[in-house]
Amino acid sequence: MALLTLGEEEFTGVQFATACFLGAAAWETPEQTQEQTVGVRLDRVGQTPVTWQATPPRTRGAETAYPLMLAAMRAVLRRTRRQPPFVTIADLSTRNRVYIEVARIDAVGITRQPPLTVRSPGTLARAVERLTTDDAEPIFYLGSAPFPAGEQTRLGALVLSLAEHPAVLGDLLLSGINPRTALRLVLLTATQRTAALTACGVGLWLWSAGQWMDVQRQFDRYGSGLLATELQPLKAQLRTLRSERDRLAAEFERSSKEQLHSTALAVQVRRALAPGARIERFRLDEKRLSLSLTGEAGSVLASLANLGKIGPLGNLSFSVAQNGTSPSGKVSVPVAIELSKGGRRGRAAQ
Amino acid sequence: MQRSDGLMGVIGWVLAGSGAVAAILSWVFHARVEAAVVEEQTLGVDAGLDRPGIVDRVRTLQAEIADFEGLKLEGQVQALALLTRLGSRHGFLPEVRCTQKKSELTCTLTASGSESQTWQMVASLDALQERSRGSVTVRSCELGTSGAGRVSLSTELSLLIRTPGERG
Repeated sequence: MALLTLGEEEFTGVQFATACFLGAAAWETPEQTQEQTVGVRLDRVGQTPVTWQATPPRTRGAETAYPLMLAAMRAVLRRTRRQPPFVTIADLSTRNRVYIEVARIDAVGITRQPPLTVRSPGTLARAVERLTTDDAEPIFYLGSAPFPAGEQTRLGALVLSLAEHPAVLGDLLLSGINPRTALRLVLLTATQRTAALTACGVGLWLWSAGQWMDVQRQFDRYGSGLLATELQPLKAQLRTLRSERDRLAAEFERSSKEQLHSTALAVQVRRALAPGARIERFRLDEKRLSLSLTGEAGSVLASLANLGKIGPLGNLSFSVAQNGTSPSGKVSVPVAIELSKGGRRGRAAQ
Repeated sequence: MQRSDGLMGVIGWVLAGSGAVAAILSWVFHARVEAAVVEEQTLGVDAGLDRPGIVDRVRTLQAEIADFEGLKLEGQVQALALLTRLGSRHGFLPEVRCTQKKSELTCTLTASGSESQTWQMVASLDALQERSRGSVTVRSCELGTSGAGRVSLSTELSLLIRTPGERG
């Protein structure tokens, strides 16, 4: 809070506390319908209408004078319930700089003296005398330090001190303003603001440059047809065709995976048959090959040995005794061969 | 000093304002490009093609689809015709029963003939399924002797057929 600025003007300490709010011209307008002359603003302190110049004065530093006195007078009025006329001394001096405003309000409006830059009882008394000679009129003092009482005890006795400390002064002056209409405060000096804006602008430019580079990269990767709207229907067609093709390919793939290589297996089985054995029944499905062998016991056994090489044989019921009694000496054996998927495919490729 | 301060302020505002405009423009464009890239990535390997490339690719895909569709059968009638033609080539008239389920037709083919005829029939069915690249699939195959040197053949086939919605 030590140094904040109001527009281009820099203030310190209590001067800030007052100037930023008062310089913000926190006046109260009686009626909006009241006709306004160009460059003149109407305001009031209590019942007293006040006209003041809206255009800033030529000398620097005086811009806050009217709003300051307006706020001070209004604060006095609100605090003391005292109606004009009266004289107010607003002392915004700091250790390094003296700034004292002296003004009087009456039924006509505010009359102010040029701001004082010397903090002595003599100059104060002279300024007050120039405004009024009526001792009955109260003189209010609003300051950041006690009123400089000196040999001029007459003024010292007349003055009613309302604030003698920066914090009290700040609160008092704040009570005299209308915060709703107070102007916006500026956080940065013009130079700082320019620097911040420049940094912000440069940062935004750099960021957008990054975005453009990213866009450029995507264009390099996907070609200039990326944003071409006339290619959209073509791309949509391509997409549907691709999914259609993939679906069909998957269908055919799935179907051909389930294929039985019957001929290849039949050839293998026939090759496995030993002379004298015959296939009675032959059944092939996805999981197993079942067949029944008939023939002489010896050749059937030999064929079984060969068939065992195609795949693991299931449980066999080989009943020689019963068939062995028949004159032909023939046996009949049902055989089931488990077909493993990979094995079958592998053999089919042979 | 006053004037240069004003000038500086103007420069600052101009920089910040133009930066903001540039950022908004590039952000909008970037978002559009990103959306287009996401869209493009759904094309997978075909991403980033130009117009002739896409047209070429579309043509290739259409040809591939037509190939696949060509391998499929038109319906039960064509399936029956195919199987009877196959049977008559080996000298028998097969008995065929068809069950249609969605785009798949299951046919049970029964026939009987001499042993060599039957084995030839099995071989040609095998050859057919090889040729058809999966459009015709032999699911099971059963041979049994039915006396007098005749062998009965019973196979179950599944055939892919065109669904009405698909293009021919």
